Amino acid sequence: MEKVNLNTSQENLSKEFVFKADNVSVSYGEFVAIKNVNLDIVKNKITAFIGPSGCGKSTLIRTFNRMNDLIPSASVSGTINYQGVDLYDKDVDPVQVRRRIGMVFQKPNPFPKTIRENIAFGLKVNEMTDNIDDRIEKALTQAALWDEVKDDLDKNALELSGGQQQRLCIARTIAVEPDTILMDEPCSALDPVATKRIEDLMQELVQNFSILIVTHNMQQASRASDYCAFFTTKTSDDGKRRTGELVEFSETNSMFTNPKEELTEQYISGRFG
Amino acid sequence: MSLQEKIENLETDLHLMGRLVLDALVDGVRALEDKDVNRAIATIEKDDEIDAAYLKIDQDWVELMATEQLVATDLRLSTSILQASLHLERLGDLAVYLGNTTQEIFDSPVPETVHATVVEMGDLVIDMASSAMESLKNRDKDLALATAEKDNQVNRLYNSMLEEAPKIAGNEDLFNGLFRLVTCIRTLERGGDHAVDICELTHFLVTGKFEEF
Repeated sequence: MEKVNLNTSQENLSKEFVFKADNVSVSYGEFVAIKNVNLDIVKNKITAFIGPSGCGKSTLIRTFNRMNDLIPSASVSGTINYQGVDLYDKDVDPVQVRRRIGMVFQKPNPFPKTIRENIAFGLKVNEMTDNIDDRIEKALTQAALWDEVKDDLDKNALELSGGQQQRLCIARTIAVEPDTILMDEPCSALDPVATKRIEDLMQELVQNFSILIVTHNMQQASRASDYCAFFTTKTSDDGKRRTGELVEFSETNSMFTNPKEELTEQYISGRFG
Repeated sequence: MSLQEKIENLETDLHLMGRLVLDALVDGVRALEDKDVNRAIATIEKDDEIDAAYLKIDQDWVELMATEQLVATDLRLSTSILQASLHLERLGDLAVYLGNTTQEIFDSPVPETVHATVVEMGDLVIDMASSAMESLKNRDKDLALATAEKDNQVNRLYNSMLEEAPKIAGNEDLFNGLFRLVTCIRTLERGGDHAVDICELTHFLVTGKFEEF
């Protein structure tokens, strides 16, 4: 089967949007986790997903690099257009998707190997081994970690601090040259100083990458993102099912000063959720 | 104290300050109209209470900013309260100015047309300041706009006095009274602007958009 090359659709590439989600719903078996989401994600900007626990924001972000494919009961309906290509087209290779659309998780999860091997692993899997030392240095530099580890590249990554481990995971993600980074609560396990470093790093990275971040931290969303999507859960009439829905999507400044929806206002001002 | 209570207290303090300022303005204008020195002194003395109210709002606002992460309506309201308190403080200074002017002219002859116009401007500014605070309290952007439009009357009176003053300037007997009253009209014209600025805050609070009235 010929795979769709994600690089070949550049002529279709919208100059503005990296993703266009159209009527996207995600279910786990009978359970609809989130439904009917329409979102256009702007290129080279930081977009934050906020909302109470269980609203489906993590579920949704995982659809943007087909991570839900790894869950047997998960099914995605609607379309997600990525750079002009239907991300869920049967001819799209999910492995290639995940190289182009990297992911950083809530808890730093470096491999129990050296710092060097953590970066090299993805490069080898993706056959990007030419100039590997340069690639490792570039990735660690972009992740603002190089100066701290350049003399200790053979140290076990698990000996790094939590904040350093998370930056190593970011370096590991960007080493394979994605154009989009998905971050699922990347700072929730970090102290304020490490959090600030990651947020500063995001501002650097967004020059070259599009970033989607799930966060429970309203201040982080307001200070670090350009756009913000607020989700909530809607309970079925019989009270048995709770499904996530997109309530409001707008520029972050606008959402935090003058939200359009009353529900958004209540959530961001801490009056519900 | 909950966030809601803190913001409600801040707003209550603003409207109490507004009441003090309106009382001072009424005293200031009536003192000037009647050349009533005792009322002028009482007006001037009220300013300490106004300044204290302003400082309390300022300090409580700083504490609120330091301890709460305000967004959306909370943010717009608290910002509007701080800015409105500054405009009220300036309106309080205007009342003091009227009190001082009364002390300067109470025993001098004054040009009657100018005197009457200053009082008329003063009453307009009192009316505008009162309506501006009411619009802020009731989140009434229509009242805010209608109030701001009254500033045209203040400006018309101001301009008419600028034309009138040179005609009287040659009369040495009236010069002191004229000079004092002309500086007063300039101050009252600014008073109208402060009321308009409070109206703009009402519009911002209700719509989330800054608009110059």
